[in-house]
Amino acid sequence: MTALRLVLGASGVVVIGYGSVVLLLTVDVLAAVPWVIGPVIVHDLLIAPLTLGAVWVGARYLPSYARTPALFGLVVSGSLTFVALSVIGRRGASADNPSLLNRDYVAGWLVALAVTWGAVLVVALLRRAAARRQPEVRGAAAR
Amino acid sequence: MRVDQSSFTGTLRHERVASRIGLALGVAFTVCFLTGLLSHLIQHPPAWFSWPTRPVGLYRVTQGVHVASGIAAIPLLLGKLYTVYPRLFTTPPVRSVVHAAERGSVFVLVGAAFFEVVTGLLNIAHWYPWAFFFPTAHYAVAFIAVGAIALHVAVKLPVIRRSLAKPVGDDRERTGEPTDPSRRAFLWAVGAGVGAVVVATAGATVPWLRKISVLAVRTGEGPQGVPINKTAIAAGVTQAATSPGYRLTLLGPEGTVQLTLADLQQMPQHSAQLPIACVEGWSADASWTGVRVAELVARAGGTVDDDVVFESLQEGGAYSRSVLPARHARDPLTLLALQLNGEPLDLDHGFPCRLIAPSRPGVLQTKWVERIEVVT
Repeated sequence: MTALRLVLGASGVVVIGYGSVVLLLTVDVLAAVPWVIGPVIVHDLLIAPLTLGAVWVGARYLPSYARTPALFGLVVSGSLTFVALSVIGRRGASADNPSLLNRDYVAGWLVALAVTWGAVLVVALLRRAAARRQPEVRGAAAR
Repeated sequence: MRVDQSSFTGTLRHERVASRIGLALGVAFTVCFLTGLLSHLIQHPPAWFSWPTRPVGLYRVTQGVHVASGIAAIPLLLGKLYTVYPRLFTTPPVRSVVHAAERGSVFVLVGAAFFEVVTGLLNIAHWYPWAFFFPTAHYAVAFIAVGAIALHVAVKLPVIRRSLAKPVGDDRERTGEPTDPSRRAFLWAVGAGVGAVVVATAGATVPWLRKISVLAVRTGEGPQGVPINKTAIAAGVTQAATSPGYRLTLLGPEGTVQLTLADLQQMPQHSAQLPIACVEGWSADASWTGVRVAELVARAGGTVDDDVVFESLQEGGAYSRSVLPARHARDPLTLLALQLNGEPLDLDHGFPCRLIAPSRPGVLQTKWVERIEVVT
């Protein structure tokens, strides 16, 4: 395993080196660096704390049967929103090209979230009903 | 039994969860890297590289997979970071030189990974809020990202092996006690996130998903039923392309010929069903009619082993010119198209004539062709 780790690690360093050289030679590095650091900062200071906050609220206030469906809802709607941010303002659209970004993305995003949380609600209610039918097994969970 | 809240939030952030999401992320990034590299090689072929003409939709698939795997990596990346987030606040922040190097390599990995997915996502949406040239930056940082992944796997290999060897669930999950949510449920939730973003965007290239891909950058609609990437206005060719003085210059070993659109229309016409497949991951099938490039090559005195250079009326720009390898040039399906889906080419599709060849990136399917040179 040590040999494998050494080979893998060394090839990783070489490949990073190649990418870095290409970056320095062909790219305006000063313009690119904010796009390497920026998303990390946005994640660490905004996305992650918001997610942790949502998970904490869910753990604190949601009944047990609703937690797993809500976790699905959180992950799915968070992922959809991340992707939606690139198209929702149609910032890349151009008047001469109606074939590009030719949807109502706000409506599409809202519908996707509505479908997601509608499914979360349905599954949570089904879980509650199932827990009530089998109180000896799931009673504690349906509390 | 009451589920302890602190263990609920804590139990998901376990190495057995992290290693499983990490494995999926590694697969997504590897697939994305390889398909991206392929697209780079097709556009900038070294001497040793050759790309097949069959199946005609091969590039459509590889580039569709490139964009889909990059988008699939987003929930995986976010899920992976969720499982390891507290490690950001390790105290003391740096224990040793090795520890500092390891933390530095993780920063490089996360920074490069985010750079790739964010710039890729914005590129397919034609949104460029930066001053660098996207293709070269996306190419260079891709190597940094996969190199950093390899390094990270090397550092973490003992942990990865240890944690993948054991079931993901914690003790309560194994004894069947209620754990809401369980680690397994978290993995499924991340999987659901992957499914959601892929389905929400893949309609740009998978026709039967078009109605439900609410975040796709294209609906597949456009002039003559095919989307456009660069319009005639954007390329600045409207006047030259519609001018009665338009001539196609055909250059080869037997000299130079000037052809009018009527000349091209009088040559034998052939039809081919070929997809237009953009580097941005969208694609559309279409029926093209025009003159076989092989016949133009023969008319210019070239052979089946000659590459052919296509130049556009568009002046400047990285994609105003393309080299068609001999393998594609001699293919009977490769056309200098005059018609699309039964009508004369729309101006935005490259009127008076454009190149269409099987299994090639759309940027190389030169529009508004002005000059064809057979290179012997």
